[in-house]
Amino acid sequence: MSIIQLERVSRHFGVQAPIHALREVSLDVESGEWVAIVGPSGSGKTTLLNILGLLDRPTSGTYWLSDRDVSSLSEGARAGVRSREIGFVFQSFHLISHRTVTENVMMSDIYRGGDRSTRRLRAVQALERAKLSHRSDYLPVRLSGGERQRAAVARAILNSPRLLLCDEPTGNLDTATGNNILDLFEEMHDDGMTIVMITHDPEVAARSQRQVHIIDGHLTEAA
Amino acid sequence: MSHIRSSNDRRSSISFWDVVTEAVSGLTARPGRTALTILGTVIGLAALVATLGISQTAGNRIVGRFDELAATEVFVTARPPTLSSPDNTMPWDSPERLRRLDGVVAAGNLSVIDLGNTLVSTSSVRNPTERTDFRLSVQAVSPGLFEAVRARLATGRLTDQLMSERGEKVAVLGATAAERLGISGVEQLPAIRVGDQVFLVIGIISDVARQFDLLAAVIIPEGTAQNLYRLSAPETVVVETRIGATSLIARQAPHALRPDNPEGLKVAFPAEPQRVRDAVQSDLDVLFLLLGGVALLVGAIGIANVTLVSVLERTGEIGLRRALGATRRHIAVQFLIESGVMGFIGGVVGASLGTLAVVAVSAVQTWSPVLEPMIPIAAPLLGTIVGLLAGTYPSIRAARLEPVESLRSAT
Repeated sequence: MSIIQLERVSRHFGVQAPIHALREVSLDVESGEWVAIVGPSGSGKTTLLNILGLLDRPTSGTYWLSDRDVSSLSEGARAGVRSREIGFVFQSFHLISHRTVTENVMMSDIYRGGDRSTRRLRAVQALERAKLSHRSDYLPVRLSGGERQRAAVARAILNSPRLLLCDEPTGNLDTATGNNILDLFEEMHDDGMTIVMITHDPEVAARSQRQVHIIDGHLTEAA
Repeated sequence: MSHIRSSNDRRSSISFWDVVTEAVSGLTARPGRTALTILGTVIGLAALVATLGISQTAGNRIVGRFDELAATEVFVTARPPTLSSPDNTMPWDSPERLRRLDGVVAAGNLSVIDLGNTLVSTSSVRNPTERTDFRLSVQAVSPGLFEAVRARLATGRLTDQLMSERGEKVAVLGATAAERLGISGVEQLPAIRVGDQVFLVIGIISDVARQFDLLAAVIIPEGTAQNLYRLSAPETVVVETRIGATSLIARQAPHALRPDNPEGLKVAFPAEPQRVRDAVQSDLDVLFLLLGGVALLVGAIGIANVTLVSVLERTGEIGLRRALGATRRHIAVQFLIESGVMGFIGGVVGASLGTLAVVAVSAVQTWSPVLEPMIPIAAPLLGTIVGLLAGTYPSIRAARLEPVESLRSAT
């Protein structure tokens, strides 16, 4: 069963002399796959991730997420899909600095109107899966880079999303720490999580199950 | 492939409790800055509450003074004679006539005697080393005047009807006049010279409630002034009425005194006390309200400013929230609540400080503090409205941020 189906999706920016960030991209991602989208900067890979994450709409083409045409949904419904079905991991973590790790993880539950009574318990479980239980009461400033990214991963998986979208998840980390995060992804992949990961680093991409390359807005499957 | 619309298409939602928690958490993240931001609203609303309270308190105070004296006095004088009305004099028995009117408490004649350059002294012997003669006002009174001006006798006695009828050369001194002449008591039977005439000082008055120039005057009986100075008619009748009777007496007095020629008399009485209260209070209120309003405006600009800075600083957080499922509306509501809560806290603190200020000023001035209960209650409401208005533009800015671009900026 496919989770993601892109049908000739294009994205242009600007009207006069438009920039073609994506040119008729088609992509199928099966449930449980771990896909790396590899490309140099300016190749359109961030645009692709934003469209996959419903943070941006394609100029043309259709995006089916779990067999639904999400490109035609209202903004409110798209926000609802984001809150329930997609987990985000960013290069720069985006943790709220004045909240503890647990509180940061709990944040991803509020916009789906999640059950307040079980929220903290679920956050504790997510932190266990991300192997960060020992730091649950820390403020982000006291965490190492790798620990911050683990907190972000715990936040992303709190609601058991169908799809984990990662934007250069190891970009701000040294190689060893980055590998630890990739180990974590591998475990989640083994548990059946669908992961789409953007990277410019071929070594990071090599950890994934499948690689697609994007150059000048054209997507090509790696051999 | 079929297009399936399931119940999973529903919009994202956030519980009221969660959105309040998020907003308050945003405020407590930088408590120092939040406190400073609120300070402007605090000052504005404290100023507003305090000035309203103090103006009410002070207004009541001023009115209190008017009530006590002004509401009970009427002066009747003769107009200068004209061709159509050559005889505008008042009768000698004016006080008796007026006292028959219901509402008159006391009445008395008062006439200033024009003595030219005549000086008043205590002795016929001139002492060259110090000044012994003074130019003092000499005023002729009927016995009822002392009551009408609420004179307080310091020592001796007052002139009476018999002395007036017999034209006795006696005088009562005002406290200031007595001091200048060096007379402190009447046991030694002091005498004063007014020009060529010698008067026996029989009493000294220490205070009056109206006609304060009596305190610096030599007061002689009316009959004596008729004999010695050819006083032809009383100049003024001073009337003390019961409270609230001034306008009534003012209408009746000319008819009681000169039924044949009421237009020849002029009646002076102060404005209605109620009108005075309104005038004084509205003047003060407008000024004070303007001051408080300006302070509140400054406070609102402060909240708008800091909320805007906060939005720009927190673009990363806003992007994250959008990624987690927040709609533009959720973002706007969160920032609106943040600014509204700031305004509310400013209102509560401001109302408290303002009320304290009213009480403190009243305590220092020994006034009774007066504050409309709605004012401190309305202040937090006004503060919230100010906060919401101030937060509108920053909230719209926050909601308009594109999540993609916000996420690219580092947290």
